[in-house]
Amino acid sequence: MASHRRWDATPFRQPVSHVQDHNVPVQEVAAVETADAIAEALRSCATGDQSAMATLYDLTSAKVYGLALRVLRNPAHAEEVTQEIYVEAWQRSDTFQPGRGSALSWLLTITHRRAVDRVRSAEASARRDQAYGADDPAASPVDPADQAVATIEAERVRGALTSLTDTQRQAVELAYYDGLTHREVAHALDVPLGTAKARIRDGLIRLRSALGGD
Amino acid sequence: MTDESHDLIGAYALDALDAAERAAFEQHVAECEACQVELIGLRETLDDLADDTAVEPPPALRDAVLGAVAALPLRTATEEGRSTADDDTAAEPGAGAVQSAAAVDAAARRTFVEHDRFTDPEDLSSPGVDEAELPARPRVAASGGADEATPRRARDLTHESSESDTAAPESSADEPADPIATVTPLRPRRAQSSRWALLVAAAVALIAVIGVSVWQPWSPRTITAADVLAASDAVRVSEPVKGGGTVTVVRSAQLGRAVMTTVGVPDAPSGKVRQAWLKVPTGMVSAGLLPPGTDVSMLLEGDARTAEGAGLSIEPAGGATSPGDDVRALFAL
Repeated sequence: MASHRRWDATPFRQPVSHVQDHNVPVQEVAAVETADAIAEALRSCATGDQSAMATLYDLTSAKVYGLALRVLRNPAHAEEVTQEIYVEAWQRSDTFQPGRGSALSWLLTITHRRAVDRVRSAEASARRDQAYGADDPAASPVDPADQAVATIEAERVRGALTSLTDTQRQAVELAYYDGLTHREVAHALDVPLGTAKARIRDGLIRLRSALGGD
Repeated sequence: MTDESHDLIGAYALDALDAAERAAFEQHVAECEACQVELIGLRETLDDLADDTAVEPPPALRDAVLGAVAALPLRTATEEGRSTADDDTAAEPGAGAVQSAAAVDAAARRTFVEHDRFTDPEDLSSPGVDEAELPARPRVAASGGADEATPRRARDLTHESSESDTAAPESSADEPADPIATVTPLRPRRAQSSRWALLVAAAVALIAVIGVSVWQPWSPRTITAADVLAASDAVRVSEPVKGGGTVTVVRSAQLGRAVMTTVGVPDAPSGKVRQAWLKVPTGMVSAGLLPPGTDVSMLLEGDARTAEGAGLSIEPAGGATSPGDDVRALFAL
């Protein structure tokens, strides 16, 4: 930077995440409106408005069910857990605080926790075998990749995932999609715990940066 | 935020901690604004990840879910939140017991309810609304929730007597087996006197922004960083910092304050200090000196309501009155 800058003249960098930027692409504007609609539906659920639950479901069910399905790899289990998720969302809708993150984050946190809890309490060892790449024909009747949504957003995510190193991507996927704890990830990859933690953390940071996040 | 917490936050966001680690980390998060801010950002990343795994569920699932919700025992939403005090509203969704924060918030909430005749923030926000306009509220099912609900409603002395909704708790207690009792819209509460109205008007404005959980209308108090982070109009901006790390500024225009949080930003060299700035129409004003540490969070000094930008610079110890040459971050809000 020049040593004698005049502060008034300094142009400010407009971060990508700033929604008032004039050059925000259409998808981002639409995403913000959807995010508002989800938050609004959740707030209405807290007042007992059941039509708001229908709205919430319609806005989010593909992401919720899809995440559950990816973690559980079983459509029947994913359906059961999805129902539990929305029931919990309804019952706890009054606990949502907008300042703590988006309504979708709130819902996906519930989703992921329930899916992972189920994975860990049930066929945990079978899951680990699968994560290692060992064949377990009984456990996975569905290959989620066959049903993956081919959308612009999905493509964007897959592109972002390529910005991670192989070991980072592997660590993040084992932790997030296969429900392993970081100790289990370390064991699965035969690395020290610190290495696993670092790969998970750095992988997430890279992912966030690649997705244009904060 | 300690280095160890910083290491764990990624795994925490991915639910990759075991039960004991998760519980310990949740306690930490409840007290650490830097982690709270970091988590928001990490979860936005996970929101995006969900695009990659999205799959339309079978149509029959929609009916199953909506039917399951409709069949739930009726209760008021705020009671559910209050009765499960361990799952504190201020903590993570689905969090385990976060005792200290939960107990404080639950106690503060109850205090607020007991002092104020208005039992529910949503009633406060629309005093004088016609009864027909209110959404139907689920009423309490008998045994479990009724004991808590009935005294709360009966305490509402501003409300005219012999009305349908003071009768309703009694009828729900008389018919414990019917979970789908007739839903009776609550009548709006009305202020008993102009003194109440003034206090309530001020309370409404602030509650709408920072929520009920830690605020009591009787003791005015200063705004804290937590208030800003929890504000309903909070807007966040994050930027990478020259020399490493990320800085985030959260601003609530309604509260007129902002919070700056650093993640992984190295300390200033010896003899120097990291200084925060807000750009207001009249120029750059100091917003405070950051405490030492790579991961810190600070309520910014000054009125952030009109701030157009924020910045971070390295200055001589004690700070400067205007930024020098070593600016590490500078961005619009």
